[in-house]
Amino acid sequence: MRIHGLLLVLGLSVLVNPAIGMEMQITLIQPQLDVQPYHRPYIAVWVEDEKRQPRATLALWKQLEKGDKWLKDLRQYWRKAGRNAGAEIDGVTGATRRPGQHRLVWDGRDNQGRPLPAGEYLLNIEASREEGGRDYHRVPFQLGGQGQIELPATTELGTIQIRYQP
Amino acid sequence: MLLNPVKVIVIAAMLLASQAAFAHARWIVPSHTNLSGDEIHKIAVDFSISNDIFHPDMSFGSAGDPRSPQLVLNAPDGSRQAKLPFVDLLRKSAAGLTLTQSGTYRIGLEQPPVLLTFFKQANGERGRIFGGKGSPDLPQGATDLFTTRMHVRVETFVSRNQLNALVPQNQGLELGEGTHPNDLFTGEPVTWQLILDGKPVGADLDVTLIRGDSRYRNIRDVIRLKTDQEGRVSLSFDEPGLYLLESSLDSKSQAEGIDNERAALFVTLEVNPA
Repeated sequence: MRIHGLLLVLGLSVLVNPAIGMEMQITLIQPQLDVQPYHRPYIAVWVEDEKRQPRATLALWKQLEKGDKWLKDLRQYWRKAGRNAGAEIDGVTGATRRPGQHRLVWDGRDNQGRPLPAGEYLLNIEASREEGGRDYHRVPFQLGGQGQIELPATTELGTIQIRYQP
Repeated sequence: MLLNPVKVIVIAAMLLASQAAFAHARWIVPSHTNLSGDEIHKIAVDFSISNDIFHPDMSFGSAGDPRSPQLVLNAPDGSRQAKLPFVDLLRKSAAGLTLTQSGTYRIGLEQPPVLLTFFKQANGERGRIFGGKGSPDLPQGATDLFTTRMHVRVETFVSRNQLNALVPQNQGLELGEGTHPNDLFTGEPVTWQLILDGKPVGADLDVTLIRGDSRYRNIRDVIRLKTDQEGRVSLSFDEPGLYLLESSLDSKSQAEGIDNERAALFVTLEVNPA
């Protein structure tokens, strides 16, 4: 009886709120900066829902040997996602990168592999560099929809191209 | 003239307790407000009494001085360390603190309530003394005695890894339910309920916020707020920085020989750029 009830609820929730797969491609440029010393920036890319609750971390590039000590300087990432993150983001955590063009692909799933329901979300991209600056973008997109976004270059991040489709 | 350190401490202690000092801000500034990572974190705190916000002027002395406040650390697990050591740097006091728990620490200066009695002399001159109506310091024939008991809260918050909801201390004037003081960013709605002895204050209490480095501005730039019916203030910060929130509330005293209870609040808050 209980099990049937649960199945019914699950079935309904799928009908009401169908999870839609998506493909999002993000191309971001980490500019070559003529500064001495150059410390590679920390960069985080994550998705929040409309209420600014974190739903998926797409990338976290940090100095792995430093642990989380400087993650607080990715101020928005730290407050929204970082401070509550656990092993589920290991797969998207990596070392800081050399300057250049970096490409990320996201399939619309959270860090447990569950597809997020269709709807309005916010894509967040933040960069913070030791002895340098901090840049932060937050841009809405429609999961289940289709679109193209170009974010203008800032000091720490070059132009960012975002394309997404179901 | 250079005051010797002992005199400075006495003056600061008197100011701490005096009505005149209500024109002065008291503040405690942490070196860090948000800390991340597994290591044991160490922070520094500076505290002073001044008119220019966060520009040290008068020291609180050192720990253990007869009139110095106590430096108190309330840890996320509810434990409390009182009488922490701090040093006198003549224009400010300072301490180092070690934070090992995950969550929000409340760091404050505490001292027992202070009595202040205002009076009028036979020649019409007005004055005030520390102490109650029975104080031997009152001049002969003083009239119009009015005694205020002052409860002053000076504090700030620091979070290591996690944020905890603030646990009210239910004593004096303090921030109650609302936005976490270590999660403040420009351009976002912020709200706090002010509580007095654990209960929401009424409407129309004045609450001000002043951004630090007022010394480097020709205008003081005071954000003036008033509480609503539920004792709440709401705002959105335009400028990042360290802010001092100030408020004080007078109420009729129920105590024998005391006319007025004044509860004052000074909270240092960090606002991040969005």
